[in-house]
Amino acid sequence: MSLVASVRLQRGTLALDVSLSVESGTTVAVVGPNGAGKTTLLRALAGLEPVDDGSSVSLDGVVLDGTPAERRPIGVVFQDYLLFPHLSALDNVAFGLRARGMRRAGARAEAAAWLGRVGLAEEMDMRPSQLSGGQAQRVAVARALAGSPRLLLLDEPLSALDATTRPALRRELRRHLAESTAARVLVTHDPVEAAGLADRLVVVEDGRVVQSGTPAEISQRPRSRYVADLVGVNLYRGRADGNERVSVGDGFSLVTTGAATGEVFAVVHPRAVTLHLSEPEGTARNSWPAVVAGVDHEGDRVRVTATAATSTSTSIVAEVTPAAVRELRLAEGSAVWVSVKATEVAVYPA
Amino acid sequence: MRTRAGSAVVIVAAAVGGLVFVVPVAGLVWRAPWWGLWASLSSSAAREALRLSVVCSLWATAVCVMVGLPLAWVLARVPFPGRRLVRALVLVPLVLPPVVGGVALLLAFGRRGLAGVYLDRWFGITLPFTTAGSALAEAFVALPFLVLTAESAFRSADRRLEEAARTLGAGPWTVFRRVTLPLAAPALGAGAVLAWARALGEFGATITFAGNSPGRTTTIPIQVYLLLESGDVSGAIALSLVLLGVAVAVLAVLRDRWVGGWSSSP
Repeated sequence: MSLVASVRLQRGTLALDVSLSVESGTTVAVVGPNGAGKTTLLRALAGLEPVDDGSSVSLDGVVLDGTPAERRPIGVVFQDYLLFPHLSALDNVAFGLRARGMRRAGARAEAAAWLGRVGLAEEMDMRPSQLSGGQAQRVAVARALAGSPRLLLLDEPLSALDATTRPALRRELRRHLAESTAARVLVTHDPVEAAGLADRLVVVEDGRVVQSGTPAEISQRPRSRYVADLVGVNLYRGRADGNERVSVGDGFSLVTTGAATGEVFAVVHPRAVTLHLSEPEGTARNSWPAVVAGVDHEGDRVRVTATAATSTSTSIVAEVTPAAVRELRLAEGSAVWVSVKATEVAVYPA
Repeated sequence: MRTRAGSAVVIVAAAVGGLVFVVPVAGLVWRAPWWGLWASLSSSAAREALRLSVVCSLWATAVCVMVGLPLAWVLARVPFPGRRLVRALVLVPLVLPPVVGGVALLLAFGRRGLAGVYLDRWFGITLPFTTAGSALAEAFVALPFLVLTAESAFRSADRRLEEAARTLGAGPWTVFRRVTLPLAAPALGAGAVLAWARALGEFGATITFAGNSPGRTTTIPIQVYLLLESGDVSGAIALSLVLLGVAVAVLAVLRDRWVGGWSSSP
C-alpha cells in the first residue's frame, strides 16, 4: 500500500473528512459535484492546505504530516496547468529537477528527454503563451512526472481542453500514467475521464466519501443521486417487503424479482424503460401512466423524462430513438404509459 | 440649450487644463538657447552638477531598492499588527513638502540629531552637507515610489504559481528568486525608474539637508536655481532641458504601464 491518507479540515462551509488509500502504480479518481472538496483534498495531500488534528498522510510508510510541500515526493498537474509564464517549456520541466538539486546541464538534458517523450521535442524553447492548450497540458504532465514522484496528483487534467483534443490526450495521459510507478490521485467531475483513467473511483459529496469501488461496480450499483446522474441511470431508494415489491414513497412501488427486504436501492437503466401511447398489454409487470416532463436529444439517442401521473415526486428517464419520439409524438406535457420489466429492476441493500 | 452650454464650459475648462501642462514646457523649449546649449552644458559647474546628479540619484535608487524591496515584500505578504499604519507612513515623503522632509532629516541625522549623534559618536559619520547626505535626502523622497509599485506587484502576483513551484521542490528562497521576482520584474523595474526620476529631480529636501556646495551637493536642480538667481537664464534653461529630456525618456519607457493602465499590467 503506497498512499494512506485521512484528511480532515474545515474551510468556510466545507467540512472535509476523507480517508483514501492508493496502491503504487494505480490510479484512484476522486469524483464528486462542484464544491464537494475534491480540489481541497488534493491540495491537502500536496501539503498546500493546512489540515486539522486527526489527519495523517503517509506515503510508502513515511509519514508526511508537517512536511512542507517542497519536501514531499509529489508531482502535481494543476487544473489550469500553472506553467511558469517567464520560462520556456524546457525550463518549466527542468524547474523541479533543479530545485531538487540537479545541476543545470543535467536537468535540462533530462527535461528535454521528458519533452521528447510527450511529443514536444520541437516546442522546447517556446513560452507557455505560445503553446496550444494540448501542448501546455503535455508540458504540465512532463513537469509533474520529471521528478519521478511517488505520489502524482492530477486536478481535472483534461477539463481545460476542447472536446476534439480531449480523447487523444486522455489516451496519451493514460499511457504516461501506466509508465509511472507512483500512486496517483485524479480529481475529476467527468465520468468518462474517471472511468478511462482510474482503476478505482472514490465518490465525494459534501466533504465525505459516499461510495468507492471500481468504475463497473459504481455504475452498476450507484448509492447516491449524484452518482446515478453521473452514470445516467434511474435510482430509487425505498423499502423492500420481501415479496418482490419495493415501495419508493408517495404510494409508488416497483415490482422486482428479488426477495430483498428492508432499505434498498433500486436501479433501472433508461434503455430498459419503454414508453407507450396507451396502456400496454405486454408482460411487463411494472406499468403506469405518466406525463412527459422533458425531451433531451443526446446524439442519436433521446432521453425522455416522465413523471408518474399518480405520484408527481417519482419520475423516470427513458432512453429511446428519435424515430420513437416522432412515432409517439412525444413532447413536454404528452400523456404516456411507462413500462419496465421486473427483471430490469436491480435491487441492492442501502 | 442648458446642456449644450454646460458641455461648452466643460470643454473650455478641459482645454485650459491641458494648456497648464503644455504652456510651461513650450516656454522652456521656445526660450532654449539652442546655439549656446553645448557651451552651457560643458561648463565645469554644469558638468559637476550633472555628474553629481547621476551619482546621487543612482545611489538613492540603490538604497531604495535595498530597503524598499524587503519593505514592500513584508507589507504585501506578512500580516502583522500595525501594517496599515506602516503602509500609511511609507506615503509620508510623498505628501510631505520636501523642505519639511529636509528639516526632518536634519533633526534625525544632523550632528546633534536623534540618530545623527550616534552615527557621529560611534562611526564618525556625518551626513548633512555631504554627497552621501544628498543621496539620503533623495532616497527619502523617492522611496514611496518604489515601495508602492513593488508592493502592488508582490500583492497581485499569482500565488498559485508559487504553490506550483513548491510542489516541484522549491523552498521559499528559490520560489522568490526563480518565480516571484522574475514575474514581478517589469513592475519592479518601473518602480525603480520612477524612484530614480524622482531622486534626480529632488530639490527641496536636498538643499535643506545637504545644502549647496559645488562638487559635493550641488545637483542639477540646485544648480538651475543658482543660475537663475545669478541671472544666467540660458544656463538654467540648458540644464532644465536635460531634466526635461530625462522626464520625456522616463515617460516613453513607462508609457505602456500608464497609458495601458495599471490594471492590465502583470
